[in-house]
Amino acid sequence: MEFEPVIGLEIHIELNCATKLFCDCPNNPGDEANANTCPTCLWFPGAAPRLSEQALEKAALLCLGLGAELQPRSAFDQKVYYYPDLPKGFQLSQAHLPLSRGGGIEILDEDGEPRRFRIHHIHMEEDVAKLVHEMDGRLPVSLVDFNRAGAPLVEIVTEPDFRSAHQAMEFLKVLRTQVRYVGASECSMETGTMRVDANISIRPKGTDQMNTKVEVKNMNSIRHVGDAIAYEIERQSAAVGADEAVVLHTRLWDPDKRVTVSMRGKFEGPCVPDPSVPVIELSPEWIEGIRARLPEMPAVRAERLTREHGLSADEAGMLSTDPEVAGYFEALMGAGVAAKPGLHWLTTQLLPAVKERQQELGETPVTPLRFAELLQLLAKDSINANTAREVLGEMFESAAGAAEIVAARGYAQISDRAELERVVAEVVAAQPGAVADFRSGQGKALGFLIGQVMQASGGKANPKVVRELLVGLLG
Amino acid sequence: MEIELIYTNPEKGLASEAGSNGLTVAIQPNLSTAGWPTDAVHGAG
Amino acid sequence: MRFTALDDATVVQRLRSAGIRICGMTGMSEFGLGLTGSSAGRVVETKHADVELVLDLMGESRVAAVRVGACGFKPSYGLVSRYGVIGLIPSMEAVGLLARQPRSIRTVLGCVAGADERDFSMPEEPVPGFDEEWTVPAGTRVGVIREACSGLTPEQLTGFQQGIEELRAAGCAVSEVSLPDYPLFSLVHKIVGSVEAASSTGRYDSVRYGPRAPGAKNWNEMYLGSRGAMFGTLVKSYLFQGAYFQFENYAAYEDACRIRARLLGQTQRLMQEADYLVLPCPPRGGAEEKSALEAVYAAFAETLWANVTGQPVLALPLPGSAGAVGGIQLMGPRLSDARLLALGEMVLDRRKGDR
Repeated sequence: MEFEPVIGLEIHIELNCATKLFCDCPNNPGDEANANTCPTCLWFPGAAPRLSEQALEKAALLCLGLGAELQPRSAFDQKVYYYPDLPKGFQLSQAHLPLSRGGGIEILDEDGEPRRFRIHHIHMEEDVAKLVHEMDGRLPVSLVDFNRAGAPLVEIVTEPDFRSAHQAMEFLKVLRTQVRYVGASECSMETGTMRVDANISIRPKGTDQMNTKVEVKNMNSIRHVGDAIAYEIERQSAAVGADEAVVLHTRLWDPDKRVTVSMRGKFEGPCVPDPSVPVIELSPEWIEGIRARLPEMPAVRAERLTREHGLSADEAGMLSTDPEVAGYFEALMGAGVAAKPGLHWLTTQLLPAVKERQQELGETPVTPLRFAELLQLLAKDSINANTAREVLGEMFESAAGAAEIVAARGYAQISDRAELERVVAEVVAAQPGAVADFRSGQGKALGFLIGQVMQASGGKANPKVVRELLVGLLG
Repeated sequence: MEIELIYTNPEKGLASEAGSNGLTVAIQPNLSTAGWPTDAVHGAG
Repeated sequence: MRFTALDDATVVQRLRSAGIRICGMTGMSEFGLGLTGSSAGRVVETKHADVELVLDLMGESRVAAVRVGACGFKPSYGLVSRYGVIGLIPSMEAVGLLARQPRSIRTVLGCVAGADERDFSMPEEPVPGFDEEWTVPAGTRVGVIREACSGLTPEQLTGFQQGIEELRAAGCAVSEVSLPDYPLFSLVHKIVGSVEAASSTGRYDSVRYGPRAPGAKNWNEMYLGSRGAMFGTLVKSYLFQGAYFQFENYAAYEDACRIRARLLGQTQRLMQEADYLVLPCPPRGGAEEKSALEAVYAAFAETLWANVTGQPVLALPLPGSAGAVGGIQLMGPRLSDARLLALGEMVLDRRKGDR
């Protein structure tokens, strides 16, 4: 029998808010242990939660960015379970009335066809504390760091629409881009600001039954999500093929052994409406206010870049994944740089140079205006490509403009025919062998001669003019 | 006085006086007061 | 829980800034639930304090008041900040006020009531004017709940009827109103209240504060040992009841929430027939309730209605021997707190005049 997988994703995203979800403590889980705590997030007697306005706004922005529909009424529930990472015996989460319902993301399927994957709902919840297990001599001790307790999270729950690891991975890539676009989170699986659980079951291909699912956790990259899903499909297919029952449980991905390992029986505690956090009522005006803050989303931007600058769909799509890169590109266009060389120089020269210097594109001293000046010099043949690369390197070190550097260093390209004719004549006289080779039809001798002229000119000769002169003289 | 109260306000000089508006209020331990105990019976626990 | 408060509750802060002296703390029952072990009322009875603040979870401030011949008041839900209140049933409890005179209650309530940015759950509503002079219009309609008298002794019933006569003599138009679902208030309180209490006490896990039971080999043992030593029998059975509905019978909890909404609607309809509803307030609670949960519910059968609906309610002592016959409760619509207290003042002023 042939099986097909049914996969749903639960994605936790840590919002990049200044404070925690229910108190004013800084939302910096990485600080010194328990530095960011207060009577509210430690749930001392008499503490009262207070929902962060910024968290609500960021969460709402994220929902709208994913095409979801914000609910006029949403509320917090208590997810009851007892564990030392939970300072009050329950986690505040929106189990019954989530912040938004619906939404979805379009991706390119394996066969290159666009396909939409649906989001069931998105809800807000608070993060839990971090447990650290240590040895005090021979005595094992468990320490709790409450810095993360109460950090603002959203959970995106998809429909079980995915039928392959590829689909899930593509979905996550696009989702990450969109959430970064709205500025709600860095969405790094490596540092844990994005955490993905996959619910996987299998069924005979072509049926629509829903079988017992297994939850897989602990993947710290999108690649691992794909690997874990692929492994789990194999594992379950083999089990069902051997007539073993699949039981509801949670498994952990082991990235070293590249297998999933059973963790525990899945315990679902009760979810009781919370009486302390008031119901969240969103007016249509408030929702429109948030919608107005929504940036142009990547798919729309890519389409516009294609239309306005004549980029290919691939180029525009690639450019739009990162809002900073796309913004930089558009600033170059605004400064009058032509699209194709602009894109080429941005992606092949500037981005690697910025990365090499461990800078952020938004903070590099080579601003779009300065970079545009350099590209204009190149376009006007005032300098050649090699010189441009060298000037770019200097622009990271000095505040001087490209033209200034060119002038100061005497980099200006020599395009004056009379001056170049003199150098060409000298080289031809000095290289009789190469001249003979060229005349006998050996094409690469021309390259050698051009190189000699460039060298003699200190790299400043315009190679196009040199080629013309050489061919004219010898041909 | 001590019979009625399990914890007496330690602020000096005011023990028998009413407040500036003439009223005296007693509270119970489940109303947080900085530095005061929160247990039902003082000294228990 | 061996916890020393770090911060003043908003109520305490407001008392202080109003120049009201806080003389100290009176003995309370565990978590303020019921009146076992509580000395609530004594400090007012002996005139060592003008007003005593007693958390009202199911009627504690009112029953304690009428036992000593004083007045007890539970404000509208959300009128007084719960920041710093170490509570048990967030959706039902309110800081109750207990005093010999409704006027003192009005003064103190005027100082502590109103929106608090530290209590996010408080609705933004205008505070009833506690400084204004309220007159009780002639012909004010009061509706006596027919179903609420079944649990009274003959002596208590006679006292209650005398109280109703007082209202009539004061110019109120008295009628009898009926709410057949009356027994469900107790049921709803039992389920919803205990479920909330189970959640509210989840924080007492001995991880961050409180006495930790020694010798535990793992987290679970520590948790069971510490909580086992920390809570008394009554609270334990109460939390057990709540955990049962959370984990084993959630459907009953959902039913109780629906019934609560229905009871709220029915109460609102009754409030169109009468300006105030009238209920007895028998002088129960204390020694006889011991630590049995059922005895606690029986002791507060007539008072927990207002906790379920969040309405303001004033318990006045009945004329006659202090405490023996108990009191009468006047329950008004939401935010009618100031005029409810004015009605109480009028009744007691007339009584004094008659003497």
